[in-house]
Amino acid sequence: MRLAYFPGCKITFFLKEYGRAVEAVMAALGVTLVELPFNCCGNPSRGKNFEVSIFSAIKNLALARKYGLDIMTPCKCCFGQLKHGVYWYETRKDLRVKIDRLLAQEGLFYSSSHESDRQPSSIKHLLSFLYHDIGIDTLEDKITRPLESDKTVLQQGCHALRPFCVTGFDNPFAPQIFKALVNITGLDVIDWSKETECCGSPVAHDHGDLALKILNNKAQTANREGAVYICTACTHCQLQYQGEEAGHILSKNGLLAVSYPFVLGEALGIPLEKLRLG
Amino acid sequence: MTFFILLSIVLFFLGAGLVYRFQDIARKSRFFEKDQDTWAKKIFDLNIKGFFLNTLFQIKLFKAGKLRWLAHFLVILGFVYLLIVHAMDGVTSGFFSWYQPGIAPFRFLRNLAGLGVGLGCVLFLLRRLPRFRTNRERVKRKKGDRFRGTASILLILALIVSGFLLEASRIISEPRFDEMVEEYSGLDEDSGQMDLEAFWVKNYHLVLKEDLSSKSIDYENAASLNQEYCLDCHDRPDEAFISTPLALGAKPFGNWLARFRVDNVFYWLHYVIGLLLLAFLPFSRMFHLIAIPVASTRKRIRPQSLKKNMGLLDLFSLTACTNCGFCSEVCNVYPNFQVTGNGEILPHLKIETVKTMAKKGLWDARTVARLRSGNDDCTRCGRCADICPSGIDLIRLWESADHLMTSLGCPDNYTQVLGTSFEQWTRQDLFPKDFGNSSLTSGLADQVAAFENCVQCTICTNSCPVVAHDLNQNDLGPHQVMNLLRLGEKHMATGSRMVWHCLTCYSCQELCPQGIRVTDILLELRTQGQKTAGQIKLSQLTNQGSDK
Repeated sequence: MRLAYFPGCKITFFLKEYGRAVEAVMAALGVTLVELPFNCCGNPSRGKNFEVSIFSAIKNLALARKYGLDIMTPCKCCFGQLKHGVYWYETRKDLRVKIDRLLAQEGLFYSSSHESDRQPSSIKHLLSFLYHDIGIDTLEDKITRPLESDKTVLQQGCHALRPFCVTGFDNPFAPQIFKALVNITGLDVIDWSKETECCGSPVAHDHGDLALKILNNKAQTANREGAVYICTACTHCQLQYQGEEAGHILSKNGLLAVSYPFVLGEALGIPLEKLRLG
Repeated sequence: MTFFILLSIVLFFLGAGLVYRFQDIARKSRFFEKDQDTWAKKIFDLNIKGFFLNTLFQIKLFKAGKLRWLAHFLVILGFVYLLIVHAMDGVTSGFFSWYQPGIAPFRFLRNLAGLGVGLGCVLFLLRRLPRFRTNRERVKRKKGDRFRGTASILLILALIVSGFLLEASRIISEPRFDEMVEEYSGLDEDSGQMDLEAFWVKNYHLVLKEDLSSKSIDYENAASLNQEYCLDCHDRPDEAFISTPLALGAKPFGNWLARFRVDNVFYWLHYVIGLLLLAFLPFSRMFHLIAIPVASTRKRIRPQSLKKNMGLLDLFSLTACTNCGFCSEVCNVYPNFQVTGNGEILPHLKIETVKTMAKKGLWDARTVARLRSGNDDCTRCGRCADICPSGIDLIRLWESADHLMTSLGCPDNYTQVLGTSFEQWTRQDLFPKDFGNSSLTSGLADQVAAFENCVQCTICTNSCPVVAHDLNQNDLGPHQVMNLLRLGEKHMATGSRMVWHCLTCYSCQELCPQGIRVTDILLELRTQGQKTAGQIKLSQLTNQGSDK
C-alpha cells in the first residue's frame, strides 16, 4: 500500500522522533510512505487569513491527487485542516474559483471537472488509517510484544474530532477509535474527564499562562484517576506535553506523555533504537 | 618588483576589506547581541563536523542541487589547487624540493585544474540562461544580486582564460626564451645558443624570427645543453593539453606576437585579474567563500535551545546568504505568499530585510510591518534551514528576528491587540480597510442568519475551556460575543480577548443547540481583528519613525 505522507510542520524540526516512530511503524506494517513536496496544511493561518488557510489545504490535496495517492498525516490539526479545506472549498463558490485559478497556474487541479478519471485523494489520520484500512484485528495479530497494562489516559486532539460534520472522524465527545487502538497494545485505557478537552497548544505561544493552567489541570485530574501515561496522536498535543515546563508538571504528577506511534511501535516489537533513530 | 608592490597593495586592500566587513558585522550585531556570556560560549561551541562536511565537500549543496554542486566542486577544487601550487609556487617549491611548476606532472595538473575551474564557470553561466532555468524555480531574485554573481563568474573565467593564453604565448615566445637562457644558462652565440634554439624549435614549439633550416645544427650538443640547463625544471610542454594546442594554433602569428610582447600583455592581464579578484573578495558575491565556513561552524539550534538563544541575531551567518532561493522553493508557507503577495513571507527575501533592519532599526514602517506579518506566518518547520547550502541556521534567525522586532516596538498582532486600549480600537478611522487582497465573501459574522438564532443559553460558554481556566483574564464568553454581533457591534467584538484566546477546540460549536457555528465565527472575527491590529501597528510605527 502506498500513501502520501503528510508529516506537518512540527515533525520536521521539533518532533523528529515522532516522525521516525511513524515511519518505523508504517514500514513494519508494509506501508510505503511517499514524500511529496507538500506545504503547510493551513491550520496556523486559520485565525489570520481564511483564504490562505483553505488554499494551503486544497493545494496539498491537489498535489496528492496528481500522484493518485491518499494523504495520511500523524497530526490531528493537519487532518482537521485538510477536512476543513474541502468543506469550505465546496461551500464557497467564489473562493473555489479563486483557488482553482491559483492552482492552475502551477498545473494542479482539485475539482472533478479536470482529470475526471481520478478520484480526489481521501484524507486519513494515522489512527483512522490503522483502524479502518489496516483493520484493528489485523493489527492485533501483529502485536508480538504486548505492553504491561499500565493505566493510560488519552489526549484525543480536538481538530480531528470537531466539528463532526466536517471531519467525520469519530464521536466528538465519546470517541472510540483511539481507545481501541491503544487497548490492543496492552496498555489499559481508563476514562478521563479531560480526554476530549484541548491540550492548550493553540495559545502556547501567545498566552502561555493559560496553556500552563490547562496543562496543570490535566496533569492533576489524570493523576487523580491513577494514570501513568498520557497517550497522544497529534504532533501539537505531544509537543505541548513534552515541553520543558510541561515535562516538570507531568513528572510531578507521576505522568509521562507518549505518542501513539511510539507505543504501537514497541508493541509491534520494533527495537527502540529504530523507533528513536530511524 | 612592480608585481610585489601591486600584490602588497592588494593584500592590504583585502585585509582592510575583511576587517571592515567583520567589524561592520560585529558593530551591527552589538546592536542586538548584548549577552556577553553567549559570545564566549559561541567561540568554543563549534560544529567542527559541519565545517568539514559543508566547506570541503559542500554536502548541503549536494543534497540541494547536483548540478550546482558539480559546478561549485569543480571550481573550488581547481581553484584551491591553482592557488596553492601555482599562484604561490615560490612558497610551495620552497617547502617541497621535488616540486617545479614546469615539469611532469605539474604542467598537466595545472591545465587540468584550469579546465575544471573553466568548466565549472561555464556551467554557472549556462544555468543562468533563461533557456536552462528549470520550472521549479518559481522564486524571483533581485536583479542587482544576479549581476554581482555573473560579474564574479566572468572574472574567474577571465582569469582562467588569460592563464591559458599566457602559457600558450610563452611556449612560442622567442623573447621569453632569450630571457630564460640569459637567466639560467649564460650561453651566447659562441657557446651554442643557436643549437639550443634549434632544439627548442624542433621539440618545444618555439617560434623564431630567423630561419635556422639553412644552418648547421649540432643536435647532440643541443640535447646535452638542454639536459644541463633546462631539463631540471622544464619538460616538453605537450603535457599542457590545453595551452599546447593553443600555442600550435598561434604559431603562424608567432613573430608578430613576439614583436609586441603579447606574452607580457597576457602576463599582466592574468595578474591584474587575479589581484582584482583578491581585492574585491570581501565586497563581491565571493565573500561567501569566507562566510559559509564560518556559518557552517556554528552549532545548529535544537528545539530545546530555541528559547534560550532567541536573543542572538547571528548576522555573520547572514552574510553567507548567496540569495540562491532554495529556501523559498521549499518554504512551507509559500501558499501564503501566493494569496497575499507579501514577499516578506519568503525566506530569501526575509534575510535581506532582517539584515537591513538590524542595521537601520525600523527604517521603513511599511516594510517592517510586512516582515512582522511574514515572519509570523512562518511555522518553524525548518525545511529552509535543512536545505540552505550555506548552512545558515535559519530557524534561529526567524526566532531572533521576531525577538528583535518586538524589542524595537513592532509586536505581533496578538500583543498589539492586547496592548491597544478599547477607545483606540473602536476609533472610526481604524475600521478595517482591507489592505492587499480583500476577502472574497462576506463572512458568517456579516450574515445575520448565521447568529440571529442565538438564544443566549450559555451552553457554549459553559463548555469553553478558556472561560473555565482563564477566569481572571478573559473578558467575554462566546455567547456574549454572539450577542455583540446581534447588537451590530462586530468591530468591537474583533478586539475581544475571547476572540484572541479561543483554542479553536470547537466544543461550543459542536454543542450549540441552535446550530450556530460559534468557533468559525470567532475565528473569522480574529482574522478581521488581524487587519485592524495591523493598521494600528503600522500607524504607530509610522508615528514612531516621524518622531525621530
